[in-house]
Amino acid sequence: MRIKSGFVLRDVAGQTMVVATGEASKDFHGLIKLNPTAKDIWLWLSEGKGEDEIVALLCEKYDVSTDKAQTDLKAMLDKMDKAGFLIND
Amino acid sequence: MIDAVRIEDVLRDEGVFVSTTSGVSMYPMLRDRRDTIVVRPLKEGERLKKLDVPLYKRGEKYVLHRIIKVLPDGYNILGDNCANVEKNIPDSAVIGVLQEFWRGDKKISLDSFKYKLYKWTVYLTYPVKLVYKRLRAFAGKLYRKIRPK
Repeated sequence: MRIKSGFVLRDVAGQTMVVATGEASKDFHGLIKLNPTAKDIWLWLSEGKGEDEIVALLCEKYDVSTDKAQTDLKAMLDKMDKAGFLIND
Repeated sequence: MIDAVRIEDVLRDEGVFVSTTSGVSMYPMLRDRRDTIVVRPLKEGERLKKLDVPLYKRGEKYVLHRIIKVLPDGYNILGDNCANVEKNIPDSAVIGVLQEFWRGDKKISLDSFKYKLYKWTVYLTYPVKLVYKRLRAFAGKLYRKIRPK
């Protein structure tokens, strides 16, 4: 699972937003704001990290249980998938 | 130049609009679907200055071009890569102004020396660019008339 090319993060006035560029901008015209956890997940996915690795990183960084991290990650990935940001390899 | 979304709503609700742009009218500053703009809404009664880059509505389309003349109740506006000035764009058509932009992954401040140099160069060389574009168009027309069929 990875993020489609063309979606980039922009930090503007203390907020992190996803912007579509290139071909992706022809289909996606919205504005998505990310909270700090979502931004971390996005960046880790961009670095090619897998779901297990991201869960471990969430537990470590946010001091949450594995179950909580898995639930949050799944919710985020579902949203990203519905929005068309993901490619399932 | 910008794909149709309700940008007024975004500016009102979020206080900022972030997007890529389409088209080449602001080239070389903004490349088609590659660079990212950050637009802020205007303050109550705010008037823009020469060489500011307003986001305004032309009919149902959103356009981001540069002010080359400030009028009493509007502006004359020109894209950096355009030859025709859009005259008398009223204040009421302007919904925001460029605050900063990214060229690729590089954030560009409108206060930077390089950007200021760029905008003044574009402005001051406009007459030369206009003559060049008209000559090129004329040459193209002439060629199409006289070329062997």
